[in-house]
Amino acid sequence: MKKLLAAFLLGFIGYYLYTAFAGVPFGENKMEVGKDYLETTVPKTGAVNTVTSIVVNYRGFDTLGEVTVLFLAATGLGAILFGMKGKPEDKHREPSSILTTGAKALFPIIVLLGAYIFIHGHLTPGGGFQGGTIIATGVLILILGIKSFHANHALLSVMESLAGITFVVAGILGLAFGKNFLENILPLGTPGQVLSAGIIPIIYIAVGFKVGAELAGVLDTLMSTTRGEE
Amino acid sequence: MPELFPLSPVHYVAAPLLAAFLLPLVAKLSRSFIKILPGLTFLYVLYVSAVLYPQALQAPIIEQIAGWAPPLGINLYYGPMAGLFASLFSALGFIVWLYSLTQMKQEPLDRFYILLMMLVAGATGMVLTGDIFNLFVFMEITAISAYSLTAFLREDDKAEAGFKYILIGSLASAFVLLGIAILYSYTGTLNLADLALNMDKVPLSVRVIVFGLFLVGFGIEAEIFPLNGWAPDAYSAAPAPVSALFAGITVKAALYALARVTILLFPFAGSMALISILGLVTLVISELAALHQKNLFRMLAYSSMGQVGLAIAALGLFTAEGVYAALFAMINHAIVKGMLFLTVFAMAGGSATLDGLNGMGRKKPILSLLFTLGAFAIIGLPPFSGFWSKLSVLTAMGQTGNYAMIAIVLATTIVEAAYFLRATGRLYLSEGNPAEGKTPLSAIAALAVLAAGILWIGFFPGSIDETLTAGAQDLLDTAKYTEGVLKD
Amino acid sequence: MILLQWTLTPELLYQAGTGILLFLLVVAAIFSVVQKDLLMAIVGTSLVSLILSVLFLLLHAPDVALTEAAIGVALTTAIFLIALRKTGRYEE
Repeated sequence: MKKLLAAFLLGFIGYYLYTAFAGVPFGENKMEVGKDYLETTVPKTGAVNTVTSIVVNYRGFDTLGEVTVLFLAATGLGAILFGMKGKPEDKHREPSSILTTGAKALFPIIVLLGAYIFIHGHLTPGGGFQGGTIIATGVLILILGIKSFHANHALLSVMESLAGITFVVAGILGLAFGKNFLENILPLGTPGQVLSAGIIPIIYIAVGFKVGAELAGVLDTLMSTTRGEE
Repeated sequence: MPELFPLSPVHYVAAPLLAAFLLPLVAKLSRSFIKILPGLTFLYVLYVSAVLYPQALQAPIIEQIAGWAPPLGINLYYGPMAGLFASLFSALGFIVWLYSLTQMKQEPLDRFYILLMMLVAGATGMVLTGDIFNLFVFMEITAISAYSLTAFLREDDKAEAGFKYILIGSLASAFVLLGIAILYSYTGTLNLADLALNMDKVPLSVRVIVFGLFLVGFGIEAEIFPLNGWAPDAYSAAPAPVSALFAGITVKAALYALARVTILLFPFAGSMALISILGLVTLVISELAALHQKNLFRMLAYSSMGQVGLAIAALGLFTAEGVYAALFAMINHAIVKGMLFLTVFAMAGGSATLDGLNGMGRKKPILSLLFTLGAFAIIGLPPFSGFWSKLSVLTAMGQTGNYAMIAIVLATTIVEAAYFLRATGRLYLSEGNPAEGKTPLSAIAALAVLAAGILWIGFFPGSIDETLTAGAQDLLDTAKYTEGVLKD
Repeated sequence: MILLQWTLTPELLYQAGTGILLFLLVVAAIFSVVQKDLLMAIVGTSLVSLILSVLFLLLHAPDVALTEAAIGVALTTAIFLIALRKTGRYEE
């Protein structure tokens, strides 16, 4: 009976969602805002990658919010797992020497890739979130490959805080210069060069550091927590 | 430095964010900053309110983030209603901080205050923003802080409550996001004012579907009846200061979002009547459920849902008097229920039952008096604030000729009186165990501010008349809203 | 033979590839829902992300594809696996 009701409810929601999405006029040039974005990105923001200019500049406030969401998730996780630190489980198997060597060799390359992605966020696909996540996966490989490895939480938390402060201060500087919150105050430069697009690369590099530090911290917290009390 | 940093509504969000990012750093310098910094932040946003709110009463302040005019960028709309809520949230945040100073001992305190600040900042962002996706982002900020705070005390049943909240809350987020996606794919814009003008591009049947999605999404956060199963668990699991904020802030922000979205995008008679009816159903069911509760926090949680149901019923009328009454009921509820949660926690601890109140009248006279005051105000006895808010609700219902609604509200008031008077009776008429511990001054001070608010509104209800009227007009005058936002 | 009359145009390849991927996406999603072995369920969700990521790339959204690949395929899977290791492998 319960299953029948659930199936009915799902069918109901599914049907109406289908009708709503089925009527979407795909392929028509109805996206007025989207057209404006495509036309104004390069002259007005100096970024070649339109997606980045939308994420960091036009809708930078949303990005600040999303960064905060991630920060809160990491904070909340730390609060809930607080005091549950323990020794790694006994059945933790020794990583093989291939894994250890491979991890050491791969880590710098992964960090380089991540850094490349967030530094070139305004030029090529990707940006702070993607680059930061890639760096965090590098840290994951270290955690898996080197048994004695533990992330330096004090360093991570300082990095995270400084990066967050950079983002907010970049916003407040706009106000201080008599413009709006998060408005660009730097010269736009030549589109297509690394040093261009005003504050976009600065914010995206800060986001990259913040996301990388947060996710690495989350992974390490999860790995070093064991079940049981205190 | 007023010249260097001209005050604008974005400070409501930027200041707590900066403080939240700073907190881990300054905590390394000295542990005492952990408690001081959030207080300073709340004081600062209160100062922002004191400067900006009078201006907003003259003319709404519209701020463009990053300098992009609305359909392209995000804007903040700080009108009389948003200003009222933002000021209320800041004040409640400050009071809860004051109370937590001595009453909140559970480590890790730095994380607690970060989550607390972001809960308030997220809810404030929800009422300020003029962009529907930005609204979703702030809803996520509020919700994620709320989930973590629910499970903050790290016991098994609290973790379960937190987990339940996460599951249902994610459903709410998913529904709202789906609604936004559908709207965006039909209209190509996310700005609320621009959407309001472009709603004719969306077929009527799709509009109904999107309204349903928003109603479920915001309804879960606003604790409307079939969607509020998570609420009693979350309220009784969370630390009491957080429960006070749930009742005072998160519900109100979700209600504001629902009201704003409904009036701008779905102004059909049916949608409004549906909201009204759901409010009444919530009211009746919650009050009846409250009657059976032994755990005081659960009782207050059900009572809280009932009060919100009352506000929703009045809001659903969508007349000037109805919105006025709903605003009055929401403010009254935020102050009174906040005070009741904090008082019960100070009096009987985190797992307070009805028996825990026995004989408190002699052992903790001040707290008992405050509880009695709150109980009377909730029931709606004159001369407390609740009387005037209930009166305005009944007047609004009478003016639209909904006499059945009046009868229901009056009947639930009797139920409300029954369980609150029973609790009050325990304070003075029963014998109990000797009490231990004294209540610190900062907690009493925080409660006194709230009690003063109840008495002030009770004796001078005219003093908030102007702000409520302006708020109601601000919500109902959609033409002014869209013109204001899209003026360039 | 009708089949032989079709010329293998890039559009046809594109559409066939998208179709196959969409089908696999649904299969992987259903697989991860019905699977009682949580390890396999996690592999299923990871597969969903991987296919999605390729689909985003085909739809000319490299930014989204990169995000989905980094977060959905790598990080979420890792976090799920860690959680699984700390609790239990089978659904009760």
